[in-house]
Amino acid sequence: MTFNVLLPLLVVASSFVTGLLIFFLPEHKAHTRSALNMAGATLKLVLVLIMCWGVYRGEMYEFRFSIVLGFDFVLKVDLLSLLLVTLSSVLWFFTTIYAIGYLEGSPNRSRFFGFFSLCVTASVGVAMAGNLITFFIFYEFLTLSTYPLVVHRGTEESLQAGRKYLWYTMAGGAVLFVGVVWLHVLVGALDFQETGFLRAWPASLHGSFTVIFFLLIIGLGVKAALFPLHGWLPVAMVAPAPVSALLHAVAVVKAGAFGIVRVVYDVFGVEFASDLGLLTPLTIATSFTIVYGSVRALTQDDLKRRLAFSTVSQVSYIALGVSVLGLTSSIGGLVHLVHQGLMKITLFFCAGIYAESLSVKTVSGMKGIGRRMPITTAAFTIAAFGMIGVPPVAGFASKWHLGLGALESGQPWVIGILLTSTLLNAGYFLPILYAAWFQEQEKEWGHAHHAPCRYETPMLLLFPAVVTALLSLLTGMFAGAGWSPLALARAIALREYVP
Amino acid sequence: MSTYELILPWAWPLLVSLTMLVGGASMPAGVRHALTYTAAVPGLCAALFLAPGDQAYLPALLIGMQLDMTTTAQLFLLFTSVLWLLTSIYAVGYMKEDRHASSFFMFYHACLAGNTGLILAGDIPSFYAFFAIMTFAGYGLVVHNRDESSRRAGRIYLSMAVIGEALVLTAFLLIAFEGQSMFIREARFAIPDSPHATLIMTLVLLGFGVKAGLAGLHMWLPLAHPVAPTPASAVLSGAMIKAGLIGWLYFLPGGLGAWPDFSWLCIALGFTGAFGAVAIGWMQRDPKTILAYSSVSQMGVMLIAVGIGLSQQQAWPAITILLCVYAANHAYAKGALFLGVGVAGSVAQQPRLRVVVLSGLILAALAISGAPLTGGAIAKSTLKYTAPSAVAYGLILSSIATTLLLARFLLIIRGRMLEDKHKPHAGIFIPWLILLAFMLVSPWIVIPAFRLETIQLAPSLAGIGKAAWPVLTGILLIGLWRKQASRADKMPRIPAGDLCLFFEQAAHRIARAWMHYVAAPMEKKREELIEAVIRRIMPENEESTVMHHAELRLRDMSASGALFLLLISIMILILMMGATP
Repeated sequence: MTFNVLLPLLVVASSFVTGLLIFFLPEHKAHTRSALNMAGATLKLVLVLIMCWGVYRGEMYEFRFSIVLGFDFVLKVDLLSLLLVTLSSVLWFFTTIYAIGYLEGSPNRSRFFGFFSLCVTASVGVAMAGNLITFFIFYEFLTLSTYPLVVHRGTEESLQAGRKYLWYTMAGGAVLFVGVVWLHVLVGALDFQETGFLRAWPASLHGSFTVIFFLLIIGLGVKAALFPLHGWLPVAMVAPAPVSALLHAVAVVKAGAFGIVRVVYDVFGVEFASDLGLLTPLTIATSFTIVYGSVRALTQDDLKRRLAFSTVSQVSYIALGVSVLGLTSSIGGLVHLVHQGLMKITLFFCAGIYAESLSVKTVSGMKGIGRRMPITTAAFTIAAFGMIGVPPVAGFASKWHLGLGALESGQPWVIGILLTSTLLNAGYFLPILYAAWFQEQEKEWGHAHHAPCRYETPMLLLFPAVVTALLSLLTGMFAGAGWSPLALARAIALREYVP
Repeated sequence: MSTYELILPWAWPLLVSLTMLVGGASMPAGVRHALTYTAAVPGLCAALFLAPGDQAYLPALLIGMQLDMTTTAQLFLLFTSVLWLLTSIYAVGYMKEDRHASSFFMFYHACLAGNTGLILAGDIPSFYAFFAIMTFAGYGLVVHNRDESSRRAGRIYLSMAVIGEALVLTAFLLIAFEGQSMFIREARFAIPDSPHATLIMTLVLLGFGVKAGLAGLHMWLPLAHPVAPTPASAVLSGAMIKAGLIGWLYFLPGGLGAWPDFSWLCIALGFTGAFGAVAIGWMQRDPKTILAYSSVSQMGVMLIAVGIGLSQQQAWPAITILLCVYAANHAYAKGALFLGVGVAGSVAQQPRLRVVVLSGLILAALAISGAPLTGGAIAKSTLKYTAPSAVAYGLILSSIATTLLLARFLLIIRGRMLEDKHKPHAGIFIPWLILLAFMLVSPWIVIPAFRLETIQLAPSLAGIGKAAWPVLTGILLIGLWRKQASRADKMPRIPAGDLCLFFEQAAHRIARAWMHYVAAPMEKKREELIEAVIRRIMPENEESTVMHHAELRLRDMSASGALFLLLISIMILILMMGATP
């Protein structure tokens, strides 16, 4: 096997092996565990960067072998997978640092970090899956490896949340499975292909394709938190902050959204899906979810819960961009995959820091927190402005393309959705910023869950938050640059339309 | 080389703002002052040394940033930079004892960056970005004093600004789509042929109207401008308010056709603002609030000019130029009046200086009223040629009204001066004097220097008389009114922010009703439905046993280890299968 065949496998293995090694590490060997974690994360990052460089030079990376029943297990790197792989490995790197700092001294860390690594393995697998079957395997693997993370604290509340999470995702997985198998029975191999591969099949199958489309979207919609399948997400925020951060930015929610992108673009083909009339219902569902999530976020006092509802809304931007036919709209949806990840992970990092350092978990408790923790709050502010879509933070580039795309496809009402969401986003983020920066502190800060430290919070927590905040700012400020996520999204979108 | 000269006007203040953000209160005062003095200088240099037609394209920035120097941009940049520069010097003196000075200057310079950036922006996303930076940073200036009134003003400012941004964004998306271009110059040309032309124009009018104090959307302005520290009020009311005017000039399709209906809408709204603001401003007691209402009134006059330009295709270039002159005059004079409020407080105990300050304030007030030989009069006399006669008479009436309003301001400030006990302060006195000088001489230098041929500079004697009589009438009226002044306090009063009270109450009620009647019941229903489904699939007792056991197993370290041993073996098996061809 040559390097080009092995590389995708190595990218998956770098976190998988790390995870397995950590499982067998005694609980007290914190330093070894941290070293292992960081080594795995760094290795993955380096491998992915090599892969980026290779793809840039025109190399092909594909790993393929047959498993049972004529299914192929395929890991393949195209531009779209590169988008998510790069995002996952970059954010995993910083989340690992954060998690090491966050869980310092808490019990069951071997279990936690083991599953944590497996979770990233799964999300990288989801990104590089070359066909629907492989995608499904990793997708379900993701469900199993995140469950222990959600219930990590072992409290009654987290167990209940975990139960809900499992129910939703398992049911979603079952629906997805039916869809995948049905499609396999109908057309055989399910290798992802730019501009889709179902167009060539006779019109007599179109009825089945329509049903299969909705099965797939419902299955994926659970993780992508499409209304009314989003119920697990706001509950699952009881998980430790690094888990929430990963769940909301790169892992579970993103896997769902990414799956929708794959199904629409590389299974059906966006134009074919549009011809079948499949996109409009998706546009309506995502539009409703966008507004619904934002409206619900308005009234949440629990900070993480507010952020969770915000995710419900923001992730649907991705599916919205995908469901509206047209190049510009596709660019907007695809780039939001990255932008939302960067911004939301920052917000959760910050929420975690507030809880760890000052025991602040509610919005009403954040009065005056800006003066106490200026750096954290600055990072939070950048990300929040990005979510509202204020330039030059990244969110603006997404919104601009989505809006323009809606006009190009002749669906100007989508602009109304985007504007409503903008106003609502402002409505639930700006009061937080106001409380943090401009209001006076009302009660004493709670005790810190960590040892006293030099800065406002341990460096291990602060550093990742600052870096991801800067990344969200820089990707927005330099969205026009050749290396920006926007440029990559544009390159992907260009290939997804039949010339 | 013009690239750097086009970047620095906004990049340098942005950098200064960032430095102050990072440095915070621990930054040495000397460094902070030095940076503050220099922040507006690159903008001034660009206005002086670049020529219309200079441009720069920075593809990597935002979604591709274009910076364009045009005559309009140059004239706006000139007065904007001068006002900011002098206000910066003033602000250093004024904020010396303020504990939150570092935060003030951070927001202040970010506003400056947004303000100069949007003047130079040549593409739509960049314009929006700079506009947003200015708007959100402006919030920091409004709430600076952190008391109840500034908080309320800030809340209203922000709510309305966000709505304005949303309207502007919609307009921008439509314009970019219709023009198939991100560049303002190109995209603008598509507006007249667009099926949505009226919608686009309405959105532009309203969206920028929020910033420019359009009648009906102006409520935040008389609340927000006065509560900010005095130097911030000066730039808010002198320079930043003009961002709305720039928006109108850049994004309304003037000169590309004639829109009689829309033109009349602008003129009607303009007059409503011009007179309504005077009427409500008259009832105010706080000098800065009166000035803010005067700004609303003056922006109304500028909107009238925009309206006239929209009705006559050929007149648009000339109207644009005269608006630049008018806006510059208003910027200097309104800046001088706001800064003068601070200066007046500081010289109260010295009779001689008091006379100087009062004379300066009177001069500034006359410049706004359109007294002869001021920039206001020069611009207005040119405007009257192109305006329909009814509008021209209206403009004369508005001059009288403005004179009345500013006379009331002067009377109030004179009364206040006698009570004040601050020490005189050269740091704020000198920049104020320089600003007054700029106000007086700038039209006489700028108009010839920039060869603005559409503006008539040399006034005839009759012209002076024409410009003088509305102001004189106003002064006469105020003299008559003063004799009856005792009655004035029995007048009905409308509080500052007029329409706001109504909206605040309405918003509060709607929010409560929403929670009570819609949000809470809807969520309950949804939860019930889902729970019911789950219960149907899995009966209560079974769930508690099977699931509970599964959880306990998973939580158990050894169980999870075993599970994953199993997984690795599967994985290895799969790998072996793959290795064999």
